[in-house]
Amino acid sequence: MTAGIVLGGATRRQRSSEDRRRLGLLAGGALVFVASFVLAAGYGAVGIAPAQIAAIVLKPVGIDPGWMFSPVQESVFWAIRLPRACLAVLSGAALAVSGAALQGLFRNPLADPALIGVSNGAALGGVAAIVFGASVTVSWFPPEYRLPIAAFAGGLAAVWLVNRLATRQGHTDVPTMLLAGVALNAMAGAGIGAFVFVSDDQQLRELNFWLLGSLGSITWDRLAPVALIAMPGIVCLFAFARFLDAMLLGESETMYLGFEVERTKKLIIVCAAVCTGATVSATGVIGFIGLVVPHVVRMIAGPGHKMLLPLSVLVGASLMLIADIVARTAVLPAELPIGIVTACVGGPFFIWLLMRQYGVGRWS
Amino acid sequence: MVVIESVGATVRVGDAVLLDRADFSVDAGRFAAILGPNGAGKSTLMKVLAGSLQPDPGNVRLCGRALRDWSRRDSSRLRAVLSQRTDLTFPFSVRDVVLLGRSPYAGQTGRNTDIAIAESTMEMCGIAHLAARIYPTLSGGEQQRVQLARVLAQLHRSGADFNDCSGQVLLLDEPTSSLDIAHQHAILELARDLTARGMAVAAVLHDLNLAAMFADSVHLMKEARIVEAGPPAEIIRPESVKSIFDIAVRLVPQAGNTPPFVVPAF
Repeated sequence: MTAGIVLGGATRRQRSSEDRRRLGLLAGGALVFVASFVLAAGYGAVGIAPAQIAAIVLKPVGIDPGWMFSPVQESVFWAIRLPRACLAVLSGAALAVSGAALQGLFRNPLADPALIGVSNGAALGGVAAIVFGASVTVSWFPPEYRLPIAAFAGGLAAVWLVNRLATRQGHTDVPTMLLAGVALNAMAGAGIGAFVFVSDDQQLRELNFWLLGSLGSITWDRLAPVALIAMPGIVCLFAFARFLDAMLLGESETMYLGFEVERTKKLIIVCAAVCTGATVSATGVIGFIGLVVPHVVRMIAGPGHKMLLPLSVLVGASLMLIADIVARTAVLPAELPIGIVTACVGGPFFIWLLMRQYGVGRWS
Repeated sequence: MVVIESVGATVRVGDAVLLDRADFSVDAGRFAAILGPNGAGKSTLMKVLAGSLQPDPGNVRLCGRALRDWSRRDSSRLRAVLSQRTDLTFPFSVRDVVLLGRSPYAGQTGRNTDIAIAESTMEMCGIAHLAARIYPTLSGGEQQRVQLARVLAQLHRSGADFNDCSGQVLLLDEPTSSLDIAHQHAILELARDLTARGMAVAAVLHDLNLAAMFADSVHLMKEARIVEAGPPAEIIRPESVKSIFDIAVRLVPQAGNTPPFVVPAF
């Protein structure tokens, strides 16, 4: 009896320290995120100090904290920096949380959104729109939406095809899906190569930026639909934390634990495809965020998805914000495709992670 | 009361028949052992009972109701499965793995209750001292006991002190395969102990002597069929062992209530 009480007490103590740790990690992640956001909104050719950002943001609600800023700073903030930072947040969050969910679903540490075909499908759709778009003009259709819609459709079509290839009699076979994704990615790569081959110089420049990703020239008008589609997908993925934890035991065990495995698998793939498809349609293909971020987070917070998913959102968004700062300021006045930045940093980092973990038999 | 049963369950993959018209049932409070040579269909029968393979034709009923009419969540509170092996390579702690067993009760029992239940099932399986360890760093036998604790947490009706297991079934697929002799006996004694509280247990075993010692009924399988079933004393005979396993054995009587020991007759 006494032992039982002592045991219970110990459990409560362990629990509250565990809760504190979780809360601390989330708070830390949020802090890094806010700092990256302020940096991304303030740093550039027109510098805006954090206090000035606060004053600019508070102006429309009628509060004047007394920090002076110029009209140029104000318009740069609202028209250029803020939408661009918001796109970075959306795409970083979508790629990272989808990567985390898909790595859990596939029980494979190399899974990322590209694996289910969404990235290359979107790339192919976007490339087709760049090369052929100008020759098929539809009078009522606004041309600036041609590329994102072709890319979104391409991404979803690829995911549907990969899913279709791996599904027999209502059962989606995960290893088959992985292999189908690899095959489809290769085919999409060939298609992209063909489009690059037939494109002219002007198109080639545009293609280049598209295939390596860029957050430039985003406007509120184009950001709004992306946000409306991507945000529900990102938030919905949080709901599958328990399921994804169970999936790490294997598919049969997950079913024995009372989960509707087939239906939930499909829902996760749809959520990941929709949110990454939406952001990729606005940014082009940005590699490594979806692959690397979940690994970094697992290393810090452990493999449980309850923490992994929200922290991946925060870390993915922060990394994308910082990568974009580098992309637009490293080679001024020109701008680097952001995919080059993420690959340059993500590649070596991932190798370091592999070396560090080698032989330990754990993928954190 | 029959807790789980299969009627005429047949499983075919391509031309191969993995399970041929299997009639099998376990009553509440009973321990059924399934024995047979490799490839006889024991694991297939387990998967059919667990619901991860659909028999065609054939039926599986849990508490008198067709398995497919149960929602996954409801059936998972009555039926838990310890698989032959579970590969978990992510660095979860042992406690977190056991807590996964509480998944069917998400949103119903509080986290404190779940943790208390996990602690008590870890205690039952003798792994309380491993609670904070990282699962992939454990030995195979320790991992199996962790999985058993998870499976028991899944059947633990909160509130009740794990005394009433009526209408519940525990399916064990070779639960002793990676355990040392002491833990083999401990795990089967635990299963016996659960039957005393009303649990129905069905286990695939390889050791005839363990089956004779712990089981209420023995089901011998060969070539996808259940060929003999009944109390161990009637079923475990040299003739049936010869016909099923193709090995000559003799029975060595033991003192007291211990069933006779099966040894090869060379």
